[in-house]
Amino acid sequence: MDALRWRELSSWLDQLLELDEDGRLQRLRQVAGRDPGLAAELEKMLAHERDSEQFMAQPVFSAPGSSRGGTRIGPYRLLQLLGEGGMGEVWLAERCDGMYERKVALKLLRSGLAEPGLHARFARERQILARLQHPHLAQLHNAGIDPQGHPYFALDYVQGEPITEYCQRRMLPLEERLRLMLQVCSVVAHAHANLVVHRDLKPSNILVADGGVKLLDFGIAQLLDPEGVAAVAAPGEPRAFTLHYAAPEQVRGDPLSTRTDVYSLGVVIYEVVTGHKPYRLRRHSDIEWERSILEVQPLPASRRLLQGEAGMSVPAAARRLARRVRGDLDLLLGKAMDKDPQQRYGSVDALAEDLRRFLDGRPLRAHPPGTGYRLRKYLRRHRWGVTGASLALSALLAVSTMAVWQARQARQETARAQAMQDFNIGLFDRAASVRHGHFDVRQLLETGQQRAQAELAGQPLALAEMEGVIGRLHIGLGDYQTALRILDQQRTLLQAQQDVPGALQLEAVTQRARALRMLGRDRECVTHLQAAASIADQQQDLLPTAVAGFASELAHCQSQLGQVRAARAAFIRALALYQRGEGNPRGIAGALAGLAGLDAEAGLDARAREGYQQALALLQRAAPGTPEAIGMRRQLGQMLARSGKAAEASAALDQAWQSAVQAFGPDHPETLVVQRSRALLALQQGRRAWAGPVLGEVRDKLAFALGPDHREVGLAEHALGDVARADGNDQATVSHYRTAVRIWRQPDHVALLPQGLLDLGEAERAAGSPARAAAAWREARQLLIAQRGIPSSAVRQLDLRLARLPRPAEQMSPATANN
Amino acid sequence: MDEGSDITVWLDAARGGDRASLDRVLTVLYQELHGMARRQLAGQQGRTLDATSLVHESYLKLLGSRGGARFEDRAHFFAYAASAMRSVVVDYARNRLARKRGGDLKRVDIPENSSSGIRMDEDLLALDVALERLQALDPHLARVVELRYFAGLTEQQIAELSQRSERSIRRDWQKARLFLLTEVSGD
Repeated sequence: MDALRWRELSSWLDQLLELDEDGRLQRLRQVAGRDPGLAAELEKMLAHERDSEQFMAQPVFSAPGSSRGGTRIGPYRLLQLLGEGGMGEVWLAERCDGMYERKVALKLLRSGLAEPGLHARFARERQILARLQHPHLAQLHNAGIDPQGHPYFALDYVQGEPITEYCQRRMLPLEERLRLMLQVCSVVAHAHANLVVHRDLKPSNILVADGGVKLLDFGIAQLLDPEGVAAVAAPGEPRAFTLHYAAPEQVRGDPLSTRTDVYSLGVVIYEVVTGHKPYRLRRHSDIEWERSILEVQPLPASRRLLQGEAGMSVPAAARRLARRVRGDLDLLLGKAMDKDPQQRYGSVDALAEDLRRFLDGRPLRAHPPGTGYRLRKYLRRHRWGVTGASLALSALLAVSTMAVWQARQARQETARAQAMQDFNIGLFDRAASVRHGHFDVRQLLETGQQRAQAELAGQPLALAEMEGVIGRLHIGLGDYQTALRILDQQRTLLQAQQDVPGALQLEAVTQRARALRMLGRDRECVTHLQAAASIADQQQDLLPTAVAGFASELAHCQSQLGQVRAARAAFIRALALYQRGEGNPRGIAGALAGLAGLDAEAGLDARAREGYQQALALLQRAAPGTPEAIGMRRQLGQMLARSGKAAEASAALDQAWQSAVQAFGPDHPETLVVQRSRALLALQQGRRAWAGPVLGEVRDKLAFALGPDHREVGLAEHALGDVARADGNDQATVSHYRTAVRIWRQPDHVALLPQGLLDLGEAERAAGSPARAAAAWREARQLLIAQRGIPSSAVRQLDLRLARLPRPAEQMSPATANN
Repeated sequence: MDEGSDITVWLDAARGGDRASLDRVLTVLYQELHGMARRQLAGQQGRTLDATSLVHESYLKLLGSRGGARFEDRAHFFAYAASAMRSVVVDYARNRLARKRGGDLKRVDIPENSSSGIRMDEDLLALDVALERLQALDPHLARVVELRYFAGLTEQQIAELSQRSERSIRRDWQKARLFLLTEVSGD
């Protein structure tokens, strides 16, 4: 290549490298029009750019960990070291797979943190952090573990100024400062609603960019230090949090809660208002700070303002400000920074409410001494009742996601469990029965919903979250109608909102679809989910588990509708997403069982069995005691029963039944469905006397719980038909089968219809009605062909049966009909 | 010999176009980097070389430790150090290849593969030849390659030293890489 040619190529490359892929193609096409040789050469060079990303990407020799500029971490390329701290390094980075242009701040945790247990915790936290989406929050885009085993986080890269400096430099008036703090409160409240406590709120984590607040690092402190032990670091050890904004319980090493954040917010507001920290120290040492935090009452903000800088007269502006702060704002800050967490604002929302009241000139809700008196007294009086009830509620929450064990885990995460408790105390406050140490869950939920609607009316997103929780709890209780009613309200609420976080949207859609499916409204379930398919696609990177749940729900609905291929594809998508990262054993097991169900449906018994067993083993290993195992054992048992393995089937079904009674109670739809399968097995084993009455009861209870036209009621009717047939009662058989067929004729249940018609035809034939039998079988035949596409062996068998039926002319004569 | 005491003088002279001073600076740097690289490798079995730390250490030793190095000195120092580092690495590759051909691999003290996946044999020598060609066509680009690839400086550091925008450094690097890739892959 000569210099002239290179100069030409070089200036073209300058242009082309500026463009994106499409732009390059377009420009190259233009070049090719004039000089095909040049275009070909440029294209070849640009192809190298794409294909050889690693070429020279790192210096010829570089030690891992040092000078990592240019290094790839996950899908990111490190650009520039932004800062280094105790936790690790923060880099400016960009996506190197061309997915997004946006640059991110990539936090690389230092190697010392790659300790055992971190990875599991990391995977769990990542899911939770990904749920946090708020306009004033530096969004988590991605998180993973680099090849050296160090966790990394990709967050919004925020070029802002710490809130304190921003306010000082611009000399903002008090109102504007407080309005910025209200933005901070809104993010913190959002995180608390997601059960995440920040624990390290400080001005350097609260940046102002483009006039709005961005909060950084939510939940990361918690991830690094789940027990809050860094608060009691040994002397000389670096602290993970900044002492100046730490709450007394952090200094003491006591359990942290959402009220810890309330305290830190109080300190930040104090500093934003006065320009000073709330304590004046004689000597600046950590020990002195700790003593102040634990023992010294902060100087009221108004008085701090009047003290001014040492040795200088207090400017008139400060005196004016002090007059405005005196009274209500002093009171508000005092309450936020109370040494006793129970005396502080119960939630960030309450703090924000008083800030707003102050700004509007309305009286505060905080009262001088005596605040919180009633609640504290109540808690003390009913300590055991409340504790028990809140644990029961955690357990209930877990049942709703079908896991009692999760409640145990949740309790281990002290801060979050505490947040949960704070969040729910109001519920128990009004649930009369709590006072007697037991309570009616349904009443509790109803109270909770009324309270949420009344008190969260001004915060539609929070209300929607709450309705989602309540809807989920109702699904867990088997009250699918109620659940759907609440989830419909949630849907209406969300439809009127803009900027609904993706996580909330996905969860709402999936949950409502689940309620629809439980009610047997499978077509609606599919339509509802498919309307949100694009949201799921967008969120797939960020919220793999939520999208997996979405896909899995879709698969279940499609499978109920006999859309076998679509269902399989959706289960496989769910499986892949659940397996991403650290994996989600319960989700994986669910998807495996779903696939096994499809195999069983297709008659691939050996493969189905393997699938169920794999799923059950996974649950046993990773999440023993989860109620999901109930459904899996039931399906496995049904399949084993069908293939004549009665003893094994019986073992699986009995185990499912015991767990179901324990987890759900005897009248829950899940339990009833297991009982139906047990009765069918008993019938197969010749125990008709037991099966008959049990099935009758199951049908009645299912009809009561789910409505008389529910698919499951049809299945119970069909089973009763089986019993009648075994009893030799032709009329009763026909009647039960007809009822089942009538129920299954509803478009949602057509997948069950062919089998129903097949059995009905047989019963009609046995009862001496060959014309009705023929009609049923012809309909079944048509359906089978329509559903499965090709004439299957089932269709051929139907043809045989049809051929053996007496011809219409002959059916008049009973003598020939018997031939 | 105390290289540190005189290197600024040589740097000045080299900048003024004195070829002998430039050689002198490069020789000193070469010896320094080579020696440090040997020590870095000898210290521990299986330890990897770290070009960045070598260059920065040599800077501290020869220039920075006395404090208050002038900006021009810094800029030139790194340019020369990068160039010297390139010579050290190329010589390693050449030696390695010679010994491999001679069948004596026992004394191999340098990793076979560089951090960026380029093998320390014909591959690196081919890259060196390509870089030589680039130097003839576009010396600025070759300089950026030496600073970034052989001395391990970040684009930001290079931008500061050369008093250009990070963006233009990045563009130069992209173009240089494309040139080298095209040359090395022989099409």
